[in-house]
Amino acid sequence: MILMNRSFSIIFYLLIIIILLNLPIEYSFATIMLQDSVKVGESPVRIDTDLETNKVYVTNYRSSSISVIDGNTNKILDNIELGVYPDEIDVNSNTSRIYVANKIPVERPGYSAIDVVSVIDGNTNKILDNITGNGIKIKAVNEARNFLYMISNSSFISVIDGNTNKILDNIELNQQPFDIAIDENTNMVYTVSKGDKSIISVTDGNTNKILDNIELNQQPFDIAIDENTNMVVNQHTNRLYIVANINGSSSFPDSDGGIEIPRGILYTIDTKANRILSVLELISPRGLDVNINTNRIYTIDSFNKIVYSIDGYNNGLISEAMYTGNLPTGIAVNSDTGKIYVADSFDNSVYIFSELS
Amino acid sequence: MRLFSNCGDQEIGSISFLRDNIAISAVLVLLLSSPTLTLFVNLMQPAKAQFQEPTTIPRSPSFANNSNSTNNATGGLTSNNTSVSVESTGISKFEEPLPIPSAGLDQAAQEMPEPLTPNETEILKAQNESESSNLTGIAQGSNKTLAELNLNLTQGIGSALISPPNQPLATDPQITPQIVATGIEYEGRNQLNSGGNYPPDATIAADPQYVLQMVNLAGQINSEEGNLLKSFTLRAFFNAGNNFITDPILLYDNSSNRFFASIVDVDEGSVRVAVSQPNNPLLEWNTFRFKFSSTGIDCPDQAYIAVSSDKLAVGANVFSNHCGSDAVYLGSQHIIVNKTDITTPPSNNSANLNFYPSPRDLSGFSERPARNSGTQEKIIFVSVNTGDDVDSVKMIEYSGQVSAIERTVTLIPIDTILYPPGATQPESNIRLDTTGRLQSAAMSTDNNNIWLTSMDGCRAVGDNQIRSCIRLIEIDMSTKEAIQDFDLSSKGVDLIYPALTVLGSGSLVITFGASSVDLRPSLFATGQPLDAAPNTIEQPILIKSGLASNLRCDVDTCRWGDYSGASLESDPLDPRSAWITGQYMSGSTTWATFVSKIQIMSSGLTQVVLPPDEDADGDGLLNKWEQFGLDVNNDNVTDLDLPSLGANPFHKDLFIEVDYMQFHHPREEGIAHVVGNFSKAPVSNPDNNPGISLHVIVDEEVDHKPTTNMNELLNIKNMKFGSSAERADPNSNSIISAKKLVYHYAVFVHSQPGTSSSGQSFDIPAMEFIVSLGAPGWGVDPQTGHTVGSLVQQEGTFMHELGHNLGLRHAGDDHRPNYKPNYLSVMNYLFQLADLIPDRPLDYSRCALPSLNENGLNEPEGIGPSCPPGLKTEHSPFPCAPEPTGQATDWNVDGDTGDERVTGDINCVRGSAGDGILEVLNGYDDWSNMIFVTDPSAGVSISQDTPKEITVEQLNEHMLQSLALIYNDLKSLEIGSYVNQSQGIAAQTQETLDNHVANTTSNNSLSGIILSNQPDRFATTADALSTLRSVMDSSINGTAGNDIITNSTAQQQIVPQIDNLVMGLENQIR
Repeated sequence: MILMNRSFSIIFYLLIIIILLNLPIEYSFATIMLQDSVKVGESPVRIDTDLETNKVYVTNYRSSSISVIDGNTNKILDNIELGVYPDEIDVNSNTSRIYVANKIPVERPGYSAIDVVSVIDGNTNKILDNITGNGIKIKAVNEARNFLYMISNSSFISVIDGNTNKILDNIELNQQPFDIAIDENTNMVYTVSKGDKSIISVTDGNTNKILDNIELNQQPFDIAIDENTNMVVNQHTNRLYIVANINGSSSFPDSDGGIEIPRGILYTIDTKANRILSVLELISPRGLDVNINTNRIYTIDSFNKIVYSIDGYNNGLISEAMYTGNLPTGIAVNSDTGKIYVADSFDNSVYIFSELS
Repeated sequence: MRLFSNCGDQEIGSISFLRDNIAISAVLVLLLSSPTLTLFVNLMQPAKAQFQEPTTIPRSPSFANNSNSTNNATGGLTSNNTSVSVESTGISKFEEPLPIPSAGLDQAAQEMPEPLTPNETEILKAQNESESSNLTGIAQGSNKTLAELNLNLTQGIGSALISPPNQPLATDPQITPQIVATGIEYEGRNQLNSGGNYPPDATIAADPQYVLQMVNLAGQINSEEGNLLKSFTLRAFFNAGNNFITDPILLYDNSSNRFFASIVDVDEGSVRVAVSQPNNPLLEWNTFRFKFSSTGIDCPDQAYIAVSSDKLAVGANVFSNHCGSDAVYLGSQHIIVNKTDITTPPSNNSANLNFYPSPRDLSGFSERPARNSGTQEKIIFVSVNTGDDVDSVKMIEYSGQVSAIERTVTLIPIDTILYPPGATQPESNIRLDTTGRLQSAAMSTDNNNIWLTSMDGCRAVGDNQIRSCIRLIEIDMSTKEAIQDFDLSSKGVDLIYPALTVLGSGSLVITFGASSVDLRPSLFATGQPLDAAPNTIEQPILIKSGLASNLRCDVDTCRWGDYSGASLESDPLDPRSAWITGQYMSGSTTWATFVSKIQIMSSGLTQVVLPPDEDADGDGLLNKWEQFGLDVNNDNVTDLDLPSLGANPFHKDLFIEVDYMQFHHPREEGIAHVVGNFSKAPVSNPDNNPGISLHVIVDEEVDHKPTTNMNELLNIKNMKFGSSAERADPNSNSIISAKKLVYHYAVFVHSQPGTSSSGQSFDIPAMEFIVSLGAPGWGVDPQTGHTVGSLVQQEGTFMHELGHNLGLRHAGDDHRPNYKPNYLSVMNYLFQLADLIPDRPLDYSRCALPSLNENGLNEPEGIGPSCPPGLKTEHSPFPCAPEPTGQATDWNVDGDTGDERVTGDINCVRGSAGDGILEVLNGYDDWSNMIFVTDPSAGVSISQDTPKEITVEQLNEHMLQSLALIYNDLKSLEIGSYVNQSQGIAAQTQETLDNHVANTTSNNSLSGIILSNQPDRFATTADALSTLRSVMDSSINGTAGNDIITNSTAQQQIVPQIDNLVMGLENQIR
């Protein structure tokens, strides 16, 4: 019943936004249900799925490993040992390669560890290669072209050939990138970055030239682009989605007050016109993924512990479920099976949901 | 004669129980009103002689010389217990549908193995309906003291010697110890709503917020105030399916803040153990199975559980063949595990746990673990052994780690125990069963001594026959001797099935049943205050009158509990209080149970006259207020009766009135949680008990407004502070004034203008605050659909804003930097709610963790150990995953923890990144730095460690006295004290003093300004005094040229007085 009431408030805001943007209102009915949970390593943070093998990969931040889950049985298949602090993860389902950001201890003056993205063979679960870079993190994979898109502690994004693991090109953004999404149909690369402005850069993946910039700051929202910012594309519908926190909700008031609600925001962007279609205010969103078959967007309100399913066509809330875990940090959906996976870094578990329409 | 009954409701064994003398008696004649109960204390001769082992029970060869035997064991087993196992069995939740279909009580009722007859059902239903409307009301009869008791202490040998009569019980005639009912009482589970099982075997446990009761086979959870929060079946709770389960046991572990529950599973030969989450039994419980044989055939009967600081023990009488009719006794056995394996089980639920299984001891029977506050390291089992010669208490101590546990067995002589006859009752010739032996044991937190109680047979003074009595024994753990050993008896009355516990205050509490040919089986309680004379007990009070005799009988006996007719638990919220429960008959064949909170007032401290204007406990409340109440206008009418509100001059008290807007009534569980945590505060008190008694009155609803700011809060306070009755009282002005001096005022409002902030304190420190959780995004009340904040949000914000009232800020002593990883306090936004650190305690910081310099972080030193150890915190960089304190920290996330000069912006702001500033992050000890404000208009604040004058009037009076001293000293100066011994200057100075200092009739003189309480002119007064000081300060590093008073002795006498007065004025100004 709590959920119903929260839905009303969110739907209320949603309706206002929809009305303002003159979007069509569609109604769908569905229910998210918890199906299962799987114990993984310590502090799981990120998660991704292999659509071809129906395997789920989870980075265990504090136990230096990846848990491999069988998507059919929800059982642990393997545990892949890595360097320390594995974090971002991406899977190329076409090549069964798993890319994981982590750190490898080294004996080098001034360094105890170097940042790498490890390349893992999903068939053997062996590490094939390590791509190094200061603060390097995998952020997107163009599965069709087998290109990898990575960021580091710089204003560049690096394009890497997935066949050779060598850098093909660096794209200068002039400000710090935080996340990347790719439309494989159009080969457009979308990078959200933060500098003087919060911008989504639209890059032609063929030429690696920036074609357009979409500014995100829109009054009254002052969005905070940071590590919690997540972006996904549904290439079937020409939609780009991005969730981020809103500044101000985590400020340090010099007053005698209590904490404010940590607000966040979901933008829906038309990738044909590169314009913001709709804006939905959320509470402390964590993680983002889209089911490209149903065009459902999934994110979690980490403050009130709610899993949201949102209609990607109109930003309309479809269903929600109480999240029974404690500290959700990453979410992924398998578009083929419809299963939604949530990594919980406090419970050391992956919670598995399904959505019934 | 039967010695034990086994396996739920079956009797399968018997044994001789010898007795060779009648107790030496000392008599307490207690004249009681209906039902009359006269209690006798029968003292036992200390048994010093050597003794022989009891021979009636065959013992294990390993215990042939067991007067003091030690067994260093590391999980090694004797040949007869190789099949013990302990394993986790998953999670039991109230919220989620449980695997067993009978999750609801209605279903459970349908499963009753012994359905009630229609008439009995109607009787019980009617009773439930009549009592359900007022769970906390006074019990029937309400005469809880039973009488004006005429206590007689008897000493000597033989029951005929009674002398001297009317001697007070307590050692100090100034002290009047008494056991009292608190008025918090309610019906527990009964036969109808627990599935019809028989007998109930009631058990109870309490933490600062919740009271749990279990019977065969249901349970309920009530709030501290007695409101029913949850009821459930034990089959569902223990995930026991349709197995035969029986004999529930509950306890609360102070050290882990968790409840533990157990039940015997006869079918699978196990004891199922469940453990709650910290501080909240309403959440999921982890469940475990302690199997006493691999086949499941061996059956642990009458199982008990106990915890120590690091161990959990399960003990039982083990029988063969599922405790069936042909079962053979196999011995007493204990299984001990690491407590942390239970409280934080391994991730793989099916994994076996490490454990120590004791040998099965055929010489042992009914070995009960002594209740333990959870802070002592030892687990101690005791039993009463009877034999041909000397009866004894058998004590089995387990110490050390489970992997290398040390088992020590000691036999301690006691006076002989006699098998008790059945208990008489009206309306039936069939007696109540009294065949249990040892009933209960507990360990004192005061001196680690062990108290135990068992059934006994004895003859009360003036009685002509042996009746069922209660034996009480205290074992001195330093000498391993029984230092108290006496019977509790009553002429013409049978006493049955006692249970005991030792309170946090050190006092002993006993509850028991009593019946006679004139007294239906009823529930009583008594106790021995810590400072009472040995071998005495308090006057008993009636807890619940039986409504019927027990006619649910076999041929020759009527069951009254299996091994426990009553149980009790020391109340952690109040070390003087205990929760007790026991059974009574609601109908001739139907049982019910009752729960009551009782209190032993034992210290006698309230009889001591304290300095009235001092503050002995440092809570900002004057001794005289806490002892006698407030009379703010000196009209000899008490305007605020603080003693009756629970104030204790020897223990810190904090009072809050809470009003609320429509829809925003605060959740009682949340308030109770905060109250409970204040009770555990690590602050010292003159009564030697830690904690702060937080008294919260949730008063009345105020008009709903969309937003409320601080000025509007004051307007609400002006209109609504105090109860409506207090505001309507002819003496309301004084009452409200008195309350304002003492009570903080909080309003649960909807929201604040322009912000979604959860709350706001009026100032720091202050007496007012709001909780504002109505903005969209906070939790929604499912009943009303109104946004009011979830339970965690309400309790976290309530405690957070109250912390501001008590002088705390978001970084401890400052507002910033927030999110400090080394400031583990609800004042820190990182810990105000539980969304970032899900298992964070709802608490203020209990110590100051070491400082963290973001420009030079030391990885080996890490964050430093928390108080208590092992609390989690988080720090950047992303993803800021929670990690334990007290360990090395990889600040720069390079894979090692050896770096000593690391730079990092480590305070993680809402799980993403630092705050952009590199600085030193200091730890802070909240509880030690609280400021107790008592008068908001004057802004006077008093640190708990430096109690001072506290009211405006008193402070002004004090300043006037200081001024008068200065005046008198100056006026009395000899002419030689003045510069150049000038008569003119002396005369002019004295005239100035008369006109501008001492003239109390003028509002412009210094005295007049203070007397008329013009704080806005205190600065002027302070300046004038400073000017005066400046012309007499050459001898204390001042300028000599302008001194008019040059005598150094005079200067050094007067100047400090002026300094103190100026400081007092400046404090007033602040």
